[in-house]
Amino acid sequence: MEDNLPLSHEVTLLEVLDRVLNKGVVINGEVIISIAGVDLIFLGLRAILSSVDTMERLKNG
Amino acid sequence: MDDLIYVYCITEKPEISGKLSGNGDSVYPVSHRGISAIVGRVPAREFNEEELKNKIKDMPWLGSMAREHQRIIEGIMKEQTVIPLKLCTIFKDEVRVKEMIEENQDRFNMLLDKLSGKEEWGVKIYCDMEVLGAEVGKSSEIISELDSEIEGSTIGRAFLLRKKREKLMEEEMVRLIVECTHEILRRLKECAEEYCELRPMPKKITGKCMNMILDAAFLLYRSKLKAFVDTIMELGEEYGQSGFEFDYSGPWPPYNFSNLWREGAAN
Repeated sequence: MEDNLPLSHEVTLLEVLDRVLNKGVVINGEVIISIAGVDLIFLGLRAILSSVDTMERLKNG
Repeated sequence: MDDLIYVYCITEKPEISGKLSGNGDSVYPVSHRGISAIVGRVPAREFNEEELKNKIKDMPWLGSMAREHQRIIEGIMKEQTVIPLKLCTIFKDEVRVKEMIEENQDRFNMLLDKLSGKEEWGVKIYCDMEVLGAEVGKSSEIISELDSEIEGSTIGRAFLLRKKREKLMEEEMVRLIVECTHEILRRLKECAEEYCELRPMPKKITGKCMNMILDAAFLLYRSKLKAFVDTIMELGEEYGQSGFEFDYSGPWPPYNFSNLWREGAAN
């Protein structure tokens, strides 16, 4: 039950990130994070995705 | 230091079947006035504002948080309608979570009502410009005429004509893409209740050699899913020879259709 609950089709981490960072309902909690420049995050992520180690960490993390 | 309360999503039912764990701890509902927030306890030393500001720059951490957030909401979504919240929506304690529910209860109820029985699906369309270019070259009369004119021309004139051809080609391709996406959207929208266009990701982000020409999200009744997927398959066959490629994903938590403030405004 806790293992994998994958989407029925392959989705990239980028799509997940885009949605959870930009699209979810924003309710002001007590802890507020602001993320500037999501594109920069994407590019940074793209760059590290080429590293196999990181890929594994992301998959398992 | 105490724990903080991480809220993943909002649902109607106060119970969760099975066990879901988030960030090492179990996930449970905090219910108030017929609405439940699905929450998990997280250590304050890691999830305070100061600490998060630094962590958010740590890509692997951010990546695994995003997956975790997604995984929990997907688990809940299998059984109930959910309103997904933004990553790292954190409250000091359960009392504050209940206050938040109370403040937003009308909007939550309206949104839950709208989302009930529906799923979000994403469709991305890519286009292979070379294939599209070849198709335009074959089908456009003006371009074919230009091609034969170029063949019988002197070098100088052929150069100028080629420039003209390039420009025409570009215009034709853009025209065709606009026309095709319009028709594609029209057919996909027939199966959906709502849709929204997202910003297509540039090549340097997708890492694909094809251009993403459309990224859209659709909110549809579960019962329409087969018709929706069939339509995507048909479109893939029809438009494949022009270089179009379709990619779909879902069901997603309804991230793109959970605009709390828009629903609230209608109240």
